[in-house]
Amino acid sequence: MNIFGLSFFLAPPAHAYLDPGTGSMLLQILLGGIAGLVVVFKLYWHRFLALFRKNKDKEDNPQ
Amino acid sequence: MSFKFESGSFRDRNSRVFYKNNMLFRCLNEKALEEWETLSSTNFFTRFMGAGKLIPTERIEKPSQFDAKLDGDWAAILNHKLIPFISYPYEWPFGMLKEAALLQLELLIASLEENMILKDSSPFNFQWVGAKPVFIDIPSFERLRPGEAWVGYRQFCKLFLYPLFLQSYKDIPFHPWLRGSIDGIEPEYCNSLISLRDLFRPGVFTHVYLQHKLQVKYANAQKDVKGILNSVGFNKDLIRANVCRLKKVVSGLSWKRTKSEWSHYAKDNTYTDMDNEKKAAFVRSVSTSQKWNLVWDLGCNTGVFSKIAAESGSYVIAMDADHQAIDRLYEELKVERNGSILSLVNNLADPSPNLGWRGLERKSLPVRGKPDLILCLALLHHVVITANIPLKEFIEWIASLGASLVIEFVTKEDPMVTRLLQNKEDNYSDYEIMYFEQTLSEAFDVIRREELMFGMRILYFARSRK
Repeated sequence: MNIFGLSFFLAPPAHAYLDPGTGSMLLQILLGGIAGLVVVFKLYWHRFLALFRKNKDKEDNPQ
Repeated sequence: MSFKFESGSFRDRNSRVFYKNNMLFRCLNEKALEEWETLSSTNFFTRFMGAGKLIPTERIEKPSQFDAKLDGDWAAILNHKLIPFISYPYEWPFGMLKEAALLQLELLIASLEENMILKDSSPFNFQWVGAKPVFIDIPSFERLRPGEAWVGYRQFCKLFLYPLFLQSYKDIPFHPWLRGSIDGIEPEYCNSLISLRDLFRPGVFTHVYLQHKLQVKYANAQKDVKGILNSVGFNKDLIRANVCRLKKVVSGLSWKRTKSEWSHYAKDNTYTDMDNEKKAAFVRSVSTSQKWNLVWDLGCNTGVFSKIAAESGSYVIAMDADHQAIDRLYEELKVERNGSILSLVNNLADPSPNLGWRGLERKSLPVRGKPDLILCLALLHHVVITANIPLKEFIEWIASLGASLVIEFVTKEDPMVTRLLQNKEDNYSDYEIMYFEQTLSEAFDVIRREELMFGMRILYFARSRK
């Protein structure tokens, strides 16, 4: 099971005919200054929380 | 009989362009119509159109006149003003590509303010009216969806930024690259070209090096990472910050002007003042003798004769193979906000060909608009002696365009030609005045003849037989 959960796949459908390039999108975030930091923070916050969700699952299902 | 869609307009599935009665129309499907309705109600749209930076566009009230004749189900039809002469980025001097890049970024900033965005970033979305850039791809504007990334950033780098970097930082003209690679320069290749020194130049470390490295790292992680990025959410401020940063980098770019053989032509040339006046008067008398709609000034160099031709209301395409000369000419035209002269880089021995899908997306020069007058001043010796093109073939090519002609023959005794022959064997038996006059008369009706420089340079005005 994917640790990031289903909610992350409710992304808005890609309308563009262009492939924006994953690395290029990441770079925009990195370069985005303060606005970028907020986005990066949210990104890691989700991952941070997801870790706890994973552990909780393991506790409920000892196998 | 159904209209044929413009062969170069197919990549966007939501709209297609066609010509009728010398006018340009665009069909929109439902989706494109929604975007248009939003766009046409924004302030920036009116502002930019008023400033001549967006192609004048309006919706047709009664599209039904076209219904029976169009293939497909379209929701609306727009009418676009025609551009006098189409050109492509691989023909633009450095200054023009830079100006188009700045306008692209300006449009992005303005549209973001009103919650719209440009979905792509391509110089092929720009055309020119003289020295003024015009954005023509109206359906490129879309409503900004919350959390959506700036999808066009990578394309901006490949088609605008890297070519400009190449010429500004490395003195490599971007034209062969843009002509040969329809999608532009890959981050990977641009990265291979840069040196350690270049990494310190504005914009290189981030937009070239980092972008390439991140691209490689996440090449196979597409689905997961994209999903995360989209849900985490790009916002307007993030996009705007990046666009502004790019604007700063692009604004600072300039092309170190290397001294080229002919860019100082006007200063070093060997014409006496009196001969210069005679030549100008000759050109002026031809250009005012009747209405010429489209003039091609081949080998225009400083553009002095293009300007004379433009005085009488013609639209002039000023062409030269010398990037430096064309870039300088463009800078002058830009300052004057000239709307009649389009300055392009083109090598007549290897002019822009048909390119792209089925060889129909980008068109060769004559297909875009045949001239009615051609100026070929102090050029022929270059074509024959430097480029090794047989004189007869060149004259035949000119004649095939159906235009009348002002041409200058510079004899072999003249210093301009002796210089060319200095390091070459003189195999050019066809470059001779009697043979030239005979060849010219076979293809044209020679109306006038005038000698300069004690007979070493002769001007001709010849009418097309077509």
